[in-house]
Amino acid sequence: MRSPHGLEAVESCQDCVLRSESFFCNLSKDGLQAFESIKLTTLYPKGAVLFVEGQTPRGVYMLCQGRVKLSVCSADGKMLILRVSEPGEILGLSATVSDLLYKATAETVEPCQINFIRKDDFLRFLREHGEACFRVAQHLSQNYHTAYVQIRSLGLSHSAMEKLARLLLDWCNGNSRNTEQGIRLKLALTHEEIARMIGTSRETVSRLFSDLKGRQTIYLKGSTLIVRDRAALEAITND
Amino acid sequence: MSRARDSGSVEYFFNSQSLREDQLFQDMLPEAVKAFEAMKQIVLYPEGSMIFAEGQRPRGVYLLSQGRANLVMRPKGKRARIIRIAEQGEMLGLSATISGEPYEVTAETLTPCQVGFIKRDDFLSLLREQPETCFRVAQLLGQSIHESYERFPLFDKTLPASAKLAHLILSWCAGGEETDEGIRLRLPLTHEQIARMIGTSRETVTRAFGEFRRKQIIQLEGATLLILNLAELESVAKSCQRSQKLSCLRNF
Repeated sequence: MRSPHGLEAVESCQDCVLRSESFFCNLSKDGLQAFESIKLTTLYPKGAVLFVEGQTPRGVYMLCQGRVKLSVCSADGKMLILRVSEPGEILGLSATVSDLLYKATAETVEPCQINFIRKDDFLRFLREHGEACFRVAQHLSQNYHTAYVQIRSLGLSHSAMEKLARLLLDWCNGNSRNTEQGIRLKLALTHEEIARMIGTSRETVSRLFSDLKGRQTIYLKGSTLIVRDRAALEAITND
Repeated sequence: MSRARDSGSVEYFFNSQSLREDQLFQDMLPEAVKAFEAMKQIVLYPEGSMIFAEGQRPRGVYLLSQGRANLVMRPKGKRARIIRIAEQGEMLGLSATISGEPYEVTAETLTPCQVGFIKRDDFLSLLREQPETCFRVAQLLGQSIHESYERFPLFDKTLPASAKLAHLILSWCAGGEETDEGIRLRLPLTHEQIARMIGTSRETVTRAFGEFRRKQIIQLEGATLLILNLAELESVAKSCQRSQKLSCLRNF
């Protein structure tokens, strides 16, 4: 089947080639079947907005393929990028489960396949499948932990280089591949967007990248980034 | 530390008024309540003792059935900050117990406390066996996540103390009582404690309260706080958010 945006849509969770260890993918057969009956598989082009900060939750969005950026809008209308979600993540979870307004805006940065589950269906599914509910609790606990890691870093001042190194290391732990030359990953964000994420200018980000290139720490071609010397990046964050 | 048996305190936890979370455990199955009751160990702590410490491997959850406890965080090389004060009826160490990550904060008793402790393994197997309990726990966690994001501005050092104080007061409003004059609430903390919460001195907190009073934003009588001008309080909190552009989020 040829699909738009160059994505192969996978309809069935049970024989999905994208299945990973994460979240709902490895539920038991029963759980997975029930999940399949309530999910709506949708393909989104790049730049589609899934939900907006402050909206009443409609449901959760499970990311199967592609990446989504989460951002918040400051009072003066500037966009600040919180992070980039990877396949296997579920978005809008805490808002849906606890019936609170969405905390951030989610926008696709590349073509994505997303399973949407309506709020009522999702809540019923959780009540009926203890296993899935337990996983939700685990996922939320992890999110809670991340929030505290962020709070802890708030009071501390970091240089732009330190923040960039931290970001790259974080991406290395996510969707990356180990190759002979180093850890290979695709940059989902432009220099401009990275600048918005770490609170500096586009020029500074470009300068820091060429600095790291000059030091042979990274290799950058187009949107492909190879981290050649992970230890050097770690050393920057420990300074 | 001494141990004693008691009954009814788990019931109390599920029916407690202090659970702002709309009686999350209200219609929990009787079997679950019984299971909780059987698992928990009652521990008594004198004032000023530590229930668990930030960075420790999670041992389990703690039901605060009597007393109050400070939840404190110590950022590297910084003064300790109070995150919030846990009231009677709250469950502590929940997310660490589920995720297996170290405890995020230190819990120190402010008054003598009676605590029901449930071991991690026991608690996790209870969650697996009782989907309804697990669901409520998930709801509670979702709420805590949102609350912790709302707490971000309190840690932003570029914000003036008055804006942080406004944020803090706004976060209490939900628990207040609507009257003709405005929202009335009991100040749950001393000025000293507020200072340790927003990272400033006691004097600065007292001065900021004085300023709010002079501007007719609030009225303070003893420990009763009356918010006369909610819109103005919101703008104090917001105007500074604009100038700092949520810089807190930048420290990736």
